Amino acid sequence: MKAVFFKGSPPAGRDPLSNRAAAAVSAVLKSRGWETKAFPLAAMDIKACRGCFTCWTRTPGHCVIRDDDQESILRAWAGAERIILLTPVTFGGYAPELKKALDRVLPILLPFFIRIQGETHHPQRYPLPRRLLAVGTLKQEDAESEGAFRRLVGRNALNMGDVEATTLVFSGDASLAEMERRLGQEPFFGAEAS
Amino acid sequence: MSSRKVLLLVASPRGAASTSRSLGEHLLAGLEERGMALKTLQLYPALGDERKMSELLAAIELCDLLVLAFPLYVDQLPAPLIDLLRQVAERRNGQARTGQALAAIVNCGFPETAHCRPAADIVRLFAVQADFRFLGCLATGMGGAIGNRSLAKAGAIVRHQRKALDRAAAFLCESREIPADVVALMGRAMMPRWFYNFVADRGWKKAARKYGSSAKLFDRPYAGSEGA
Repeated sequence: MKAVFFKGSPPAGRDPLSNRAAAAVSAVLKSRGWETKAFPLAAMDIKACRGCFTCWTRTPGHCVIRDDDQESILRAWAGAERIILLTPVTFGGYAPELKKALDRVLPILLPFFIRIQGETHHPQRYPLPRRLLAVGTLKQEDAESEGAFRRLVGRNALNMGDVEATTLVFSGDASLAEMERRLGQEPFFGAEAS
Repeated sequence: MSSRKVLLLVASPRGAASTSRSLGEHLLAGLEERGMALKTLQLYPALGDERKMSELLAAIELCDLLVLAFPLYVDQLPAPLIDLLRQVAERRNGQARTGQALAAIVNCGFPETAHCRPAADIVRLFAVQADFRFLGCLATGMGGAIGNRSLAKAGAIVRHQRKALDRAAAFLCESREIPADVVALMGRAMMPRWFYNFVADRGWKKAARKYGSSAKLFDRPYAGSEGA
């Protein structure tokens, strides 16, 4: 199984809960023996999307920004069967560390429109039977933020081609062991290593 | 007449040539008519520029009404805008309420306005956490039909959006919440969905022809490479 793990935690030390969740995901991935490409996004140079759509028109599939770290992400995403997003829940959404990478994945989509569940979406440039896992962390339980986060992940799953999505939110002082236990129980991690 | 200050923050990488700016400026015109003092700032030129970012953060603290205008990126706000909002919230952490108000305008390239719902959630939750009074989020799909034209020049297709922004201005200048019927009016389709999709698809093909890349539109440059 080929997986891509987007570690959207802030720089080390700023958010111990999120860093703990990242360690838990890494441990479960290791235990499954999946071929994983992990991206510590806070430490990566990823520039802001320019909204130019060059990746759909002039150089299809290639981002016009070539002097940063995003290409390695596109390369890994193209062949990944499992996508894992990890982020502190930020106003019910993703932290900028994660979002800066997601803003730049437009090249993995095609510009044209298709209909999914009655709505308009873009087809995948690299169609694969993918699954999505989103892991959010909240310093304190917050049902409203968690609800918004879950809805956002649902929208992302639709835009990724209506993939099966799992959302987990850890809050408070959840321990590493507890996180690993909950993650390990998820069907997302159930497939045998290939 | 009110002398309250409104700050329009345009958070689109396309800046002055963006649909976000067109929508935001139309709202501003309505607020100016009602005596509000206007200021417009662009977020993207401040990225990586400490002085400009400081000015931007200071302007946010000084306004009475902050209006965020942005395009939908991957179902929510563009990353630089989230980063800015996080900075604002962190700076205000633990401080008393400021009495400031917040509204937002979001547009997406999909024909359905429903894609913008998570963005509206996020802006509202930011307002709560940063002590702004949230007055509403005006969302519209089919943003590609506006392009960088002013709404006045975009013609009849944006009549609902013009009317919604005009009506919203009347509420915002009095620091009142934008009513649900105005939000619904803003989200009304500019044209039949099939037609918008047809024109959009044709537009991508036309652009590819212009660049001589028609045969490459479906290319998969990373197929078979690392991880693939």
